Amino acid sequence: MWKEFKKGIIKENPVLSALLGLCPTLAVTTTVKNGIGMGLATIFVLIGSNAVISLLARHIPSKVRIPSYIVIIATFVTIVDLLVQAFSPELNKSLGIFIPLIVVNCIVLGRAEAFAGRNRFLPSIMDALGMGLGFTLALFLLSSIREILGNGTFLGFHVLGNIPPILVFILPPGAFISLGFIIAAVSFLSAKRRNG
Amino acid sequence: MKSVFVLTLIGFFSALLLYGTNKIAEKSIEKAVAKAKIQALKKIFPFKFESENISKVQDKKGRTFFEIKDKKGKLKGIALEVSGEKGYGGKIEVLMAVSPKGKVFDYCILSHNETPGLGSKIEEKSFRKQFKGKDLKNYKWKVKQDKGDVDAITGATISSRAITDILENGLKIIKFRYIEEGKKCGKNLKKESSKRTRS
Repeated sequence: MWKEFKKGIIKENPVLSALLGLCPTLAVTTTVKNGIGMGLATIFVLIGSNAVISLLARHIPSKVRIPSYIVIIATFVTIVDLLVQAFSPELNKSLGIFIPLIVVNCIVLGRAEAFAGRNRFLPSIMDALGMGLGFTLALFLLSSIREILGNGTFLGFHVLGNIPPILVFILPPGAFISLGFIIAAVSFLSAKRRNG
Repeated sequence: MKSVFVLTLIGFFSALLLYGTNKIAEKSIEKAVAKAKIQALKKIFPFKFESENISKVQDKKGRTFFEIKDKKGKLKGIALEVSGEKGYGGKIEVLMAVSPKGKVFDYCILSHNETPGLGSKIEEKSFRKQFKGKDLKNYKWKVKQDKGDVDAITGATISSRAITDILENGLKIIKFRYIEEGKKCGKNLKKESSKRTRS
């Protein structure tokens, strides 16, 4: 059980090792607040979809499993979206546009197909938690680099003093450059570890 | 046959679930939106007022005005919802507060799709404060690159230009409705300004 949780954080990290969900990763990581918010919303949807799919998977014929999973995921995202709008207007203001985007995040469908459809309820939830946290961690790393270098702030506080920020890091090219360096560092470290 | 049945069933239950959630959430969403609007109004005026002193007015073109009056019924300020399509990410919707004499108090952005960290700085006070007290006469409503008076945000000239246009347009609407109302030339002005918004 612990193994299912731990694998998503570094070894099989959805962004840094499987290179899934790059679209939201690149798009929302302009500030740390956005990055963490997107991560948390995704964890929530992942847990919900993995739980429901692990319970239903035995009854769904394999021909229609992908459309079924997508309907389930989309339902979950819409519910989260409506509830956040209704009961937490503050959160909705900062996260509003990202929540509908979770439907097209291939990490969610990927976990449904690769794990929740073939495993039982509890392991599926641990898997969702681990993968969600791994995703959030990757977003946190990338958005920290981009916000500090590109805007001179961290969580909105000025940290660079009078050094002018490097604008390109806020822009899309900066996202690709930073993500490339993070992935390079992670693969270097994990290769080193494997070779001992 | 089984696959058709299962997929239909899943779709049916999803729809049912969403219908239920929507029913529960609908009223709270409406309340939250209305509350957010009142809070936004209170933020952009430099004086305090109660929510019962706000009256909402709509003109024939569907534009929404909020009139703020004091206890005696005298007009203290007007807020107007204006939008423009020329932002870097498309539509920008603005709620702007103007004095009865046509000077800008402040504004807030209701919605935008500008680049976070760049164009989104149009929401920040450091950018907003340069418009305070400006009207159509004492200010050139263009960014400095276009030989106007507005200090554009570094790296976001398009967003700055868009917001400048929106505010100028808003001031013209307010000027027509509250300052020049009743004057003979009003009708011609109206035609002109509606053309300008379309082009």
